[in-house]
Amino acid sequence: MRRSYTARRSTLCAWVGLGAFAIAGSVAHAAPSGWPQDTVALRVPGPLSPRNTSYRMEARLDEKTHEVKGHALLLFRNLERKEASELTFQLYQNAFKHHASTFIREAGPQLRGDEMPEHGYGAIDVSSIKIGGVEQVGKAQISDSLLTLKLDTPVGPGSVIEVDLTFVTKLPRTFARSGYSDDFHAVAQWFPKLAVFECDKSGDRCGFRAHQYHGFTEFFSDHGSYEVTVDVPDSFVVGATGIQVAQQQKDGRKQLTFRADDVRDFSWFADPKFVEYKATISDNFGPVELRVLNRPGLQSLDARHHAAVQSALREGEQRYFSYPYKNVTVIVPPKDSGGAGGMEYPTIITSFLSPLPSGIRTIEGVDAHEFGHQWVPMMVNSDEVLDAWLDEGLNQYFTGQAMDRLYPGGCGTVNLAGFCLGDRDVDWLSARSVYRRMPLSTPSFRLSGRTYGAMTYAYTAQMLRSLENYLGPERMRQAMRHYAERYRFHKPRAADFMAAISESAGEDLSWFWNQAVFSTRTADYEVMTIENHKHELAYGLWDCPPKPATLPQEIDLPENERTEWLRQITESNQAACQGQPAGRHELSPPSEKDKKAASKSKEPQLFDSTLTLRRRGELLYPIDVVVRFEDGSQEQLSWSLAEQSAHPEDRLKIVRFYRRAAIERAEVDPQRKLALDEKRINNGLLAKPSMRPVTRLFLTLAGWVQTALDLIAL
Amino acid sequence: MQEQLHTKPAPSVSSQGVFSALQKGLGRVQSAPLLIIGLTLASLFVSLMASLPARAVLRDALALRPIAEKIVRGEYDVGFIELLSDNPAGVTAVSSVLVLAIVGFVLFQSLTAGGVLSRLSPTHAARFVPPGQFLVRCAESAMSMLKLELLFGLAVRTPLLLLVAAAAGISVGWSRAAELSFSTIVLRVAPVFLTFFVLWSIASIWQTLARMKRLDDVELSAWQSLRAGLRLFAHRQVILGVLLLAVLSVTAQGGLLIAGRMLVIKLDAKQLVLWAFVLRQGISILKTTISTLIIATTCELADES
Ligand SMILES: [Zn+2]
Repeated sequence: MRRSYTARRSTLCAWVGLGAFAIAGSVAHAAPSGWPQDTVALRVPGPLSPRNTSYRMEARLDEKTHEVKGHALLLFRNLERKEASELTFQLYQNAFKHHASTFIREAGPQLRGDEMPEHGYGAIDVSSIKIGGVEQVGKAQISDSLLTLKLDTPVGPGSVIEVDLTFVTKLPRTFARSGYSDDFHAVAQWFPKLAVFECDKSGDRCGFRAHQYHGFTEFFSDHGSYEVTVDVPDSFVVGATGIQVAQQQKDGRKQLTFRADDVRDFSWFADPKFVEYKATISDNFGPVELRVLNRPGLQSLDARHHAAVQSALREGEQRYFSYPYKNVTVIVPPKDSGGAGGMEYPTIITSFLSPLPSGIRTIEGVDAHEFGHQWVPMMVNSDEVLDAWLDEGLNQYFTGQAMDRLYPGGCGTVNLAGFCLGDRDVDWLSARSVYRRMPLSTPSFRLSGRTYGAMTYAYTAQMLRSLENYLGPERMRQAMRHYAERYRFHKPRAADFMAAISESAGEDLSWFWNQAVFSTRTADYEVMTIENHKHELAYGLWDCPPKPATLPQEIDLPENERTEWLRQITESNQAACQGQPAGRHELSPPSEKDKKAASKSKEPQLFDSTLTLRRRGELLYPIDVVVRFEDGSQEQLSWSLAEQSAHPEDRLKIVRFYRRAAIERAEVDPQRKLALDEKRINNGLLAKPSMRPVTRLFLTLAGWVQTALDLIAL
Repeated sequence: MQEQLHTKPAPSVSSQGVFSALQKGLGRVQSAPLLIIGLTLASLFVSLMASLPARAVLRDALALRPIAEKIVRGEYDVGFIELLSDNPAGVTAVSSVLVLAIVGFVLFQSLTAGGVLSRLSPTHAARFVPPGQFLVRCAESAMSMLKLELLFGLAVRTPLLLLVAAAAGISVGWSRAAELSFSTIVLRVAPVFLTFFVLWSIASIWQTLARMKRLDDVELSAWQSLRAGLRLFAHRQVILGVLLLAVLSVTAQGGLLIAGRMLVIKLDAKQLVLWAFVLRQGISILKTTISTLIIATTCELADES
């Protein structure tokens, strides 16, 4: 892994030099600040990625018309072994151009319950595409949010092409991750963005992996170096991907230049009302500058944003690898721009406004989640359209870990008035609501909104928690790290993820993936019944003198209980024959009266107990079982994967005990290792009902009712 | 106390003041301990009965489940959500019984209002009844009190509720637009709700006055009683007294509610559920005492004016 990484870096330097030469020769504006080869925005040695799609852009925000006039110089280097005969660009904002777009037809004019505002359309118009100084825009084919341009001269393997683009982006009223409201501008998905050129594994079939902007999926692109100058009115405060490297002012406007290295996107946010909070988060690799651009009057919440990002940063570095960038910015969009909240871009994330009490940890949860995306998919570059669970699901799993770090008590989502809910609880409730629908492997754009959310995020997180509990936390941590390190600044698919985890675990996990990723099998184990019968072995016809007892093979008992059984039969036979002549004698059960006397005596009873476990779901998973007996003794059993796989149609496991104590209770999966378990209350069963908790809940409820009645009398 | 009332000549309204009325009211309440206990027991009985279906649902779902102990101890709160979401029929049944119980309790209160009011009236008032006559008076006045309750519910309570719902809607909409933190929202919305509670309490006093008028004159219709009750507000002494009583009622009941919740939470945390329940009954007695004190004082104020 390390060796191949070094080798790739040496080829990088060669092409980066070439790129720089090309720019110097062809672009008229001022000499760039070392773009795209240096590493000013990194706090670790770079480059970290192939930087095969780099941009230098100028963007002027018209705050009245909410349009961004842009010019981009794109440097694209073909990393494949075949030539690229065309270029495909993503024009994401065209998703909001009219109601016939792929996005609106799939999602309706809404996203996550947020309606698309009236007269809020957006679009990108590309007015010029020049290659080698020759205008090409007339040849461009636009289909919804994709632009394809046939090239006069294909880009050969290892070659670099320079494309000059001029465009105007009309921002929508804030909707689906970007847009404007009043002076707030979320300028994201705003420039013609080159799709990913790739060849299949054989190397024969090559092309751009580009998708329309779908209703429920996000983005995918190559890494590069960005140098972007944004031009805004003087009063505007700007937060952007990367670090600010220059600033100029004239005619009531200012031009801020940002540099970002080894990133897969660039977005920026501008609003004169932003109130800035600055802090430094330090780790083993040095400082990371945190900047929160918050709403006026909400400065008391800055500390919460700070704590959440800090927790996610430390957790991410422990789980994945070091955060290589110098800074991170948190944007808090205004109330009427909630559609731009809860989003991730390289080195910049958007949060939400929360009018809720601090015990409901929305702010922390969103910030930790969005910051977690800095690793997946911002650096571990998975395709958010084809494998949405590889970024949202892995990151949801990570969010739980970051929230645990922040709130070790396990109440990471809600801790209010004595009520506690953790991320695992909320994910579990959400995941089980979408069981029996579609396999996780389904591309997200084939799902409905409701199913997409719960499956991609919560189901994946619960699946990974089930896997973690199977492998153990340390093996799982190593496996996730192995995947992240192997695919940082690479483009893994779902199969790569599963292979990397299996490889690191040193175990074929296909039994797990086949069930949890490629099928709709659900998981639910329960203790179905407990039956305790008092021992009746002593009664019957006995032949005297006693003969050695035998136990038929069909009576299924564990070894120590076989011995007990045989001993008991021998004792019964001896007791029946005591003082009796040879021949057959009957030993009958005592009368009811004698029985009562016997049950009062201190003689320990013998019990023939049967425990029936049931697999209600179709998913097989190794299950621990704890059986507790009335004398306080405990028995640990397991319902192993091998046992279940041998007879996959069998739903019951029947265990018999022959002991001096009856079963008091039994529980399957007591540590809740199977996080995908659909029902948890049925995991345990008591042999006899216990009314204590029922009475307590009843009294509590009656108390609430009484309080309500008392209030009526006010 | 009652003795004093008879021997002392009734002082003029203006000099007497609200506090004197309150003192006399307290005397009336002290002389009717059985009434207080009876009313408290009624609320206890209704709440226990209303919770019985929930007990049956809980028994079926949890009696054999070891996790129930954890749920009760607050160690597994998500279990509540699983319980509710996996037993939708039970939840519907339980909640409808609870709603019925609340409606039933309101009816019970209105049916007994005549008796309670007569019992708490000054002994010299025509409507006063001794303890032995309490049930008879309840029965005599039940229908008229029920009519009054329905009219009052429609004409006064419903508009008040609509008003507070509108106020809540506006404040929620406004706080959503205004980008405020939770504490700021609470600080700004609290006065709206406090005002509502005081208005609600004033309405209750008005209802008491209307009931009084109806008991004093059996010829009055529900609508006439309502208006007669309102006319009493014209007396400066009464309006001042009503305001003070409403504030007193809201403060005392609110204080008891908060203090009670805090104590109950502490006891619950220590798993002393039964003690929490006993404590609740103590609080309930205090609450009933306050409610009846307000009624008795209202009688004093109105009868003197
Ligand atoms: Zn996400």
